[in-house]
Amino acid sequence: MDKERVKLENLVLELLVLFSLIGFAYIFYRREAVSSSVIANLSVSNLPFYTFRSLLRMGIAYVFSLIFSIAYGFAAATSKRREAVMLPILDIFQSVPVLGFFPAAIFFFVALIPNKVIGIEAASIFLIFTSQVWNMAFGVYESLTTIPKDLKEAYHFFDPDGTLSFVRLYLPATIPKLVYNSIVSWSNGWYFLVACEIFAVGSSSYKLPGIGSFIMETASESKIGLTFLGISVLVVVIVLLDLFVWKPLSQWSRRFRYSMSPGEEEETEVWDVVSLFWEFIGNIFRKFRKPFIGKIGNPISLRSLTRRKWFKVFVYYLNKVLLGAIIIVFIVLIYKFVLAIPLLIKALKFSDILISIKAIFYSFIRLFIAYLISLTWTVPVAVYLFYHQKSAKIISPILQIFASIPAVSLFPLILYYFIRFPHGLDLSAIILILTGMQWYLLFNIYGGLKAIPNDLKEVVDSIGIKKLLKFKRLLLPASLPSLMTGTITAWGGGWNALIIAEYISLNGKTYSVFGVGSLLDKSLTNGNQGLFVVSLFLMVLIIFLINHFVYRPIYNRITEKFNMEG
Amino acid sequence: MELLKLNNIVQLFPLKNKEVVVLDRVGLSVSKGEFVALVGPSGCGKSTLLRIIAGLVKPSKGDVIFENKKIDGINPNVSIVFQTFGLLPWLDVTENIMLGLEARGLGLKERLRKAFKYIDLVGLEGFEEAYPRELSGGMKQRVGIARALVMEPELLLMDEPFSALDAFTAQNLREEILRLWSSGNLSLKSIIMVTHNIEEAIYLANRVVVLSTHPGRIIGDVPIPLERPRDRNSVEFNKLYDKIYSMVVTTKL
Repeated sequence: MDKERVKLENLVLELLVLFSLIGFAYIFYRREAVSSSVIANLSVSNLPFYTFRSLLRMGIAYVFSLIFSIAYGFAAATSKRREAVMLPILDIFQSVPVLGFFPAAIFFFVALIPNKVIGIEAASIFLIFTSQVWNMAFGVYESLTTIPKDLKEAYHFFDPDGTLSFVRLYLPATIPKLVYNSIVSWSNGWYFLVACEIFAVGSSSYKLPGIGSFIMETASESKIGLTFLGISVLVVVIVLLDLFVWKPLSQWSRRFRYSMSPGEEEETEVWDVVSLFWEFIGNIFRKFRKPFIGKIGNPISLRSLTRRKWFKVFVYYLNKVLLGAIIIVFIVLIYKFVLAIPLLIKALKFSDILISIKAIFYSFIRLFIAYLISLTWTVPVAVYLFYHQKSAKIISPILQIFASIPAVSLFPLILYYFIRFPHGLDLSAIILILTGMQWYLLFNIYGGLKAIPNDLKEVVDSIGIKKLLKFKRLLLPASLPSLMTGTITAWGGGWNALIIAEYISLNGKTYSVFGVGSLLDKSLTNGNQGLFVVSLFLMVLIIFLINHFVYRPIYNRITEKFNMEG
Repeated sequence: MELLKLNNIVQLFPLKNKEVVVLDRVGLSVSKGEFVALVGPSGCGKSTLLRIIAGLVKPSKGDVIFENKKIDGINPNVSIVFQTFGLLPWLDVTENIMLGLEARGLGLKERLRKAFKYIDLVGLEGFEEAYPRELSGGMKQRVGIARALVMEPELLLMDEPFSALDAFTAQNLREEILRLWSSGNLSLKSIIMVTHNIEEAIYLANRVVVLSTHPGRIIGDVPIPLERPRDRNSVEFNKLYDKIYSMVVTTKL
């Protein structure tokens, strides 16, 4: 009797949740139909709707990223020939400030899709996609190339045809890295989302409905209270996502690891509430699947499908067609580029090059100052957290929440308070760059310190090494490789932040400091496309050269000397 | 003459919401001139006990008495040889060995003199400037031993020092340890070695202490009165082996 009652209660409760979900979706759908796709109303009641739109944009971009990164990583990891081409491409895309290409993306998508609003939506989703995808693709590639050899051999022994190797061997191998990198990608995505929901190209400006545009718009109208509200809503969303999605996912992903390397990841503990929530959702799902099981018939078995001869022939031709298509696209791109060269040369002015180089130099100085400031505070804090594990348990989640706030969303606020000082914009630009740089450094250094093997710590302690000598001989060398990794990501974040940090309109007035970021913005608003292309090209070139000829050699030497596999 | 005394050492380890007793009222006395082997099944807390003796881990209850003085913190008269060698990958052989001397504030000249003395003693000539990654496992452990000896300790602690090495290398190093131990050139007064290899314990030590698991307690203390060099195939050796083996096996039940 009692059991039956509990069952009934559960059913009612589950139905209730389901109906309210449907209702919720319906309301949003209505809202969408009623309100135009352009942000117009800054009232608080619209905030949930805006947040939902932003989440949707992120979700779509993420699904594309997931599919692309698995395909790209798999293709690059399974053939030496493809690897030689695909890996350097990945490398370039990863280190280039994508934000600079945003105007180009808008032009492309607006031209491609007749409906203007959808075109802009597509452009912003594309931008978010580009901010998420590279690091995930790299993760897939890396985890596929590091599958232990004995495991591969054992697998091929049991499945000589390899019919299920993708599902049973390769895909599971990517999961831990993919989940971990997804978390990073999402925070990258938030950053870009805020930056690309609102923008001006030439005389026309676009404002997509979303949480990012809400923050920017309220700030530019000096409604600081609403700006704070927007930022807090954003933080709440990010924290909830972390609790309900990423924490359980990363706990689940640990099942797919080959070995536990200590300190690689923090122990993630999933709250009971969260587990109950997902159990609940799972129950609803099962209830609605039950009537269909057995009625539709057995799903087509992948195994029997892949065994058929026509399937193999089909896959063979599909491969050829895809390869052909890629080659054609490349040829077209190169042809277009060659055609554009005379036009570019015509538009090219020597003065433009000089101005661009000067601007890039100024921006570089700003980045460098921000980098130094980041280093001076993150190293001591990381060392403090390392020595005080108990307080680190409280402090580091708080810092993680701070880090999850997309720096761009803070920019209006920072500017609002700093603009009255002399050199206010310079100051706020540096602060914004700082917010885009410092967290990468902090978490990388702290992670590196935590990964120090226990026996090394015991060795150093047992022979009485303390304080400064311990820092010099153990902590600093051990964290150098991760410091270098943090540095490259920090500079990547810094260049991106720079592009919006040097030029902003507030209360209908534009403020700018001289630098490549403001140069890009100004040349675009003035319709000076020659200058825009030159400065963008030079910036990308210089970043690429610095990476290859300064950063890479240092990085390689440091990882060679200071890695742990001694 | 007593060198080390452990008084009712208790070690608790928090696990979720309850506490696990790792070591339960362990009492042990080690005299000068003794080579003690701590033997027990894995998870019996023998490595933890070694770290408590070194002062790396503070026991939940009980005292460590070294030369009639209570030890609080790292004991400077003790050195450890680690199972996984514990060499800093960014320092070469000489720098790794000198590390502890630097902490003691010795000048570079003095540090080098001492380091070279022990490099010669353990047979590392020609590898002074090699980095750990360029060395074989046996060579790495030689560095580990030299780094422990250069501190001129009175008590040497070894935590499964040969279990990460292949059988031939391990036997070589065992002979080396015995040679150093019996040469009388060292400041060393006693050695305590943790191992799960009973044969190794009987071969090297003159006293084998057996620990039980869950919780770790001392359940046997067997003197090894055999003459050196010891013959693994002798009747006495095998009798001792059977005796200790049956002790270790019964603790698991």
